[in-house]
Amino acid sequence: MVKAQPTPEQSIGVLQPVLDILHTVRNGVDQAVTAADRAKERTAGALQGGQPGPLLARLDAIRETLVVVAARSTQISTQVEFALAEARTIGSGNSTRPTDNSPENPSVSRTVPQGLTIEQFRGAVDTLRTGTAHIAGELFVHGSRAGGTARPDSDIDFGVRVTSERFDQLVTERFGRPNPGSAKERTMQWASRTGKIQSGEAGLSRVRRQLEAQLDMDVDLSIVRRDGPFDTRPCMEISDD
Amino acid sequence: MTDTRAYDYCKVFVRHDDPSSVTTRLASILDATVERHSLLLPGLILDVRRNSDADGSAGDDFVRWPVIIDAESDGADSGSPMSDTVATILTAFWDAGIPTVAACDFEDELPWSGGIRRLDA
Repeated sequence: MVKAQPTPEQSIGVLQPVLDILHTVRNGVDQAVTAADRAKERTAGALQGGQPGPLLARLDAIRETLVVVAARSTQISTQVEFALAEARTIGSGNSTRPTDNSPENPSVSRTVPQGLTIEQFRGAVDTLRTGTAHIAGELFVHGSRAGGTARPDSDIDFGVRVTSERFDQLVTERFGRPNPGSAKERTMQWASRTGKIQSGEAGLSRVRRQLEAQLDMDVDLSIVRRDGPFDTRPCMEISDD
Repeated sequence: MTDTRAYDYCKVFVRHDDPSSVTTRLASILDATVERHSLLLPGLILDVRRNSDADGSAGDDFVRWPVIIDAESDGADSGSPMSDTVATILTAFWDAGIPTVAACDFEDELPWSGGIRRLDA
């Protein structure tokens, strides 16, 4: 007897709660990591003059395990999100499986980000080119809409990739010389460390708002340092022509 | 005297999980019109967004708090409206028990230096 295949709706009905649980697990693990960090601080303070070494080592081991659990839960979430996207694609009547854009095969480029029509994408690219020409970088789409794992309410992530030298130059231009110890100095340090200048600080809020109005979805737009932590796969390059 | 360009932009970090709730609260505090995630004020526009760098274990590291407000002037000389508006936002959110920090060139003109000093207090 051949067992009946589940419908896309049934698959979504099973996978969505799993994804929600995975997100809850991830949040719980994040909180546990914070608690472990706090316990380490208190242990170091409370046992001054004593022998905190063994207890601190044990807390380090717990923290390390939690970080591995967090990373693993993120990997599983990515797989479930992909399966959900596939079920939604099949359910919508579009039989094109998103395998070419799967997380396992991110090197194959999509031609249009998930959820956009060609016309929408062309319009967005025109807006991006005009609004970011002064930055002199390479445009790309990254995140779930480039990888084919987006949910209907997912945002679209646009990036302007620049060389490391240009990135440092832009950090100096956009942040100036903030006062030592100020919050602005901290945001500048964070941008340098992550290799990403968010749209507000980059002076690109207007372009981002324009894209949101065009696409009717949330848009994230950043300047990204080439080969930095946010210059990652999956991504979809936007060519010059 | 602070350069007038210093008032062009301010980034406000909010330790709150829900951008929609922050938008609603801002609209009430400032009596502003909301368009999508933006609040329109005379001389200013405020964008409320989820922070893409947010991290559940951020603690007092405000750059990883969940919500950001991008406050941007409309190009006119808006020094006073910008600093007054940001000060109003900070005070109202602190009064509501919501940790909030402003990062900008005029932090010194804001209560608690924009909030970063409250983290150390």
